[in-house]
Amino acid sequence: MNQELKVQAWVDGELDADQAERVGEWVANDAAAGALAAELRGVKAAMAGAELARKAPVSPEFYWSQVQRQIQAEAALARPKTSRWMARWRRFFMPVAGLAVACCVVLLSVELSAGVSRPDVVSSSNEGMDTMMFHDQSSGLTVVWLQDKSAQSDASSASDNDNSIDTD
Amino acid sequence: MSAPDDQSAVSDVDLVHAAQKGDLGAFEQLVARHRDKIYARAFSMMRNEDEALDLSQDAWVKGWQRLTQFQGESSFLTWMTRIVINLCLDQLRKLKRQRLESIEALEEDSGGVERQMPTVEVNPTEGLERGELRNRIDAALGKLSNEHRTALVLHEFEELEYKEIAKRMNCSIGTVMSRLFYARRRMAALLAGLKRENAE
Amino acid sequence: MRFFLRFAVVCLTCFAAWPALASDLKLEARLIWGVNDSQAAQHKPVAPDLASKLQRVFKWSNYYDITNQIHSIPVNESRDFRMSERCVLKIKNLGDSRIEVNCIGKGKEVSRGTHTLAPSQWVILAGNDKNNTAWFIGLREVDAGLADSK
Repeated sequence: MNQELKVQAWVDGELDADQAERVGEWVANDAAAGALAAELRGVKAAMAGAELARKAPVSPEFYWSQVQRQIQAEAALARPKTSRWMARWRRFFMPVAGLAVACCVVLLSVELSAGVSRPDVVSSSNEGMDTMMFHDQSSGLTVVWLQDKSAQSDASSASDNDNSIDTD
Repeated sequence: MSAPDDQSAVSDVDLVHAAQKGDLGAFEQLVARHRDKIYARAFSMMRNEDEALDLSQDAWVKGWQRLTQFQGESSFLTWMTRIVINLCLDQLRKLKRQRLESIEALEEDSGGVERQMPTVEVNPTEGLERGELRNRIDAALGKLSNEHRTALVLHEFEELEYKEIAKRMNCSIGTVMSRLFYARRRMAALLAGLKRENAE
Repeated sequence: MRFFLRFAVVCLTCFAAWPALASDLKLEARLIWGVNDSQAAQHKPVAPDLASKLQRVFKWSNYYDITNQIHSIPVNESRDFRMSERCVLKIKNLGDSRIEVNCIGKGKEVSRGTHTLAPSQWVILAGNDKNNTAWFIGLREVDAGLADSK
């Protein structure tokens, strides 16, 4: 280790006791070493706790919606395949379940009062497209974000994004 | 998307415990609390808004996936910061940016130029408010190469020892020391230069 | 019995005529381009209030108006809003300020959604565009006094 790096290691407390004592004496008695130590200490002191605070450049709701979408996508990939037993039960009960769902839809479609509010819904039948919806409180915007799955998997394909809408 | 219940009075520890049991709302609250700090650290390392945004979000996803591994040995924020740092380091390695073959870059590698710089007096409190100093340090960090900035950020902001930095950066302790030395000397010169401009 | 029959006929007539009594929905669809630099300088910037809302949510600094369409849509009917060569919105008025929006991109369905239009609030469809930009389509109910686009 050269002498300057030893001074740095001494300033950072990275030397063992013997080495620290020797370097300390040298720094105290040598003007150049002392000046270097002072400079390194000055930078250390200047930088302590000086990381600039920054806000993420998107709204909190949008930021979270992106995280949530990724978590759900990863969870869907990790889901274990259903057993054959479960598949057989599903085939047996599917017609009955379908009928039950149809009855529920019919019942729900009868409005008993004009004041019933229904939530917004969005979906995509396009397999290459992910949809994500959220309401941003601060701006009052309801946002439906359409994400092209093929562009998402290739991090460098921003310019090839098939999701473009031709704003030229 | 429904707004999370008001959990602002709940501690990180309690939110983490709830999230470890699968409560995504609790995790959302942790994200809301620490999102900006994680983003800021990613930006310090990457110096690019889009990359910092993507990596900070990736870090949260990884955090959720590994949450059961968090045993409280450090604060949750420290744990998350380590995750985002590792992702940034991976990304920096992947990018392998081509630098201009400047004299400085060549001498950085050979370890010469920093020894020729005259020492400068760096008095951080002289004539500068803390906020202004932060801005200047940030500007100076932006002028360093990825390797030098990373070594400096890991040592000064993350307070890692040489050994730990070497492990994270996948290099020798000697390389860490050289990079740190160069980065600090360059930082001193940049701060002194900025101070001189301010005085004129 | 006769009274009951007459009452039933009146009720059925009212139920049948009910949709006709609901007013048309006047809807604005605005195509906006979000960029971080001056690549869209030839376009007009969006109004400041909408720009600030978009800036609060999204990361792009500048937002420009590309096209604007206004159409009246009777209840239970649809209208096409052609936003660009590649994109058409088929919007159906479901009544009670609710709309069904079918977004068609390059001839294929991109998304289908149902939304309630709150007064003075926008519903925004959005996605990434080339070169780290983004497109936005803002939908809102407008004053009945505004003329339809041609």
